[in-house]
Amino acid sequence: MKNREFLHYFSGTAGNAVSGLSDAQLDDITEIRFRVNRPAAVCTYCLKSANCAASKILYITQNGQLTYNPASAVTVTEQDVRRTFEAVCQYSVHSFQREITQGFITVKGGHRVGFCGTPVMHNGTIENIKNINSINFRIARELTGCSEKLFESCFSDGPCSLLIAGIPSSGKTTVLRDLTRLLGGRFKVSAIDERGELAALWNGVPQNDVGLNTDVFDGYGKAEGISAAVRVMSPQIIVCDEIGSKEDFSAIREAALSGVCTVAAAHAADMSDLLRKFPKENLNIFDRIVFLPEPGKVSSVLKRSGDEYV
Amino acid sequence: MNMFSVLKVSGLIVIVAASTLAGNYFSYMLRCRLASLKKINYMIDEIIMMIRFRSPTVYEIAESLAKSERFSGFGFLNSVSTAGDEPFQQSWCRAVSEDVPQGLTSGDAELLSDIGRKLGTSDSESQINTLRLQQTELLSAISAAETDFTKKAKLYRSMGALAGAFISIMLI
Repeated sequence: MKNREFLHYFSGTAGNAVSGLSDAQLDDITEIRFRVNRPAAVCTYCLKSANCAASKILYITQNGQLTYNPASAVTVTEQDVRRTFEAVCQYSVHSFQREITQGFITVKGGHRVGFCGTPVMHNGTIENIKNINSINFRIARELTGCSEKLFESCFSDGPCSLLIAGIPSSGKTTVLRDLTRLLGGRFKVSAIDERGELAALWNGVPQNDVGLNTDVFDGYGKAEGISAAVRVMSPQIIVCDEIGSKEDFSAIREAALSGVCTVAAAHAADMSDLLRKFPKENLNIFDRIVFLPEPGKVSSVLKRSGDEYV
Repeated sequence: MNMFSVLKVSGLIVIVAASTLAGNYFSYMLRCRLASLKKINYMIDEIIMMIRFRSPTVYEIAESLAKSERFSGFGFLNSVSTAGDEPFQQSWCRAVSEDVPQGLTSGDAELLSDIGRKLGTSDSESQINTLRLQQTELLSAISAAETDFTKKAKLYRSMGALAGAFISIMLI
């Protein structure tokens, strides 16, 4: 099962407990968290009730069962965290230097492993992270078909620029991943996969279905990737995850001037949050905006009409 | 010539041959050690080049080295590249100890283990510096092995034959 492939990264007693989780349990888990000297925890999908933020944190017992009681959970040791981190780096710190300084590594399958510790600074920039005390393993999933309605409502008349906004863990990347697959089936698409979460390229081969006509720029920064894609791949649509910087918007604007549409995701709960974070002139690059209020839910699509979205 | 004499002559011939072979073997081992050390030196160069230009993972490095014909004598590389579940550094050391390249002394093998032990544990620049340092150490081992080879290889061969002849004379 594809979902079990990542389990070999987890080490020690806590790692064995994680390996003991059943397929059914793994299907519901979105995050596995290791914190030094604290119980191994998981976050699960909680779509049944709206008020379930606290209840979706569970703990893993020694024999791989999930419990609400942290006292009966397996405790993660410093060695478990260190070993897991080393395995995630494939014992090759030099190969993941850039990712380590950014605080996360994307492993085979597109799962994003975030970690926190103490930064080692050099000339004012983070050069390394030492004393890693927490690891958050975010399990990537392909929810095939989850963006079909969105695709039909936005792209039935041809390419357009779309911004997918939502709070963290609202499923932006999942929707974007499925949308890339659908877009790649109809248009020439370039995916700027800075964090390896869209295509999850492994030795040059996409692990996720990105569509027949999608070219993947793996590991490129968004601004550099967009410029390179426009220059060399003549795409109709560029897809990229989590935009936010001035350079990102500037590159998207440049692409729009070349007639290339962009489908991107950004962190924002609603329109007012979006307007607070980004200048209006940057948002106006997008023909449509859609919000993901919670995992699996897509709000109505807002269309640009002049300077407003209705 | 009676049976006893025939056996005696045969025995003496065997002694001379065995002694000569032993001398040749020790001489051959000196040559093997030198060749293996030089190969390790090439291997370090190759690893540095890979880290500098491709930044591969340690598994990719081991796999690439294992596939290279130049390092075909280093059987341990195959064990490293296929061992995925144990930590790489541990797997490298285990593989070296189980399959020491021909001619290497325990000191040389330790040096080879040390390469794997430190591989992948730091950023590219520190990694290359560490490998360069190990190369310096290796070059002095190569120089010593060359001296050994020049001085002792011929000596071992001659000594082997002469020792055989001497023992034979003593037995006659």
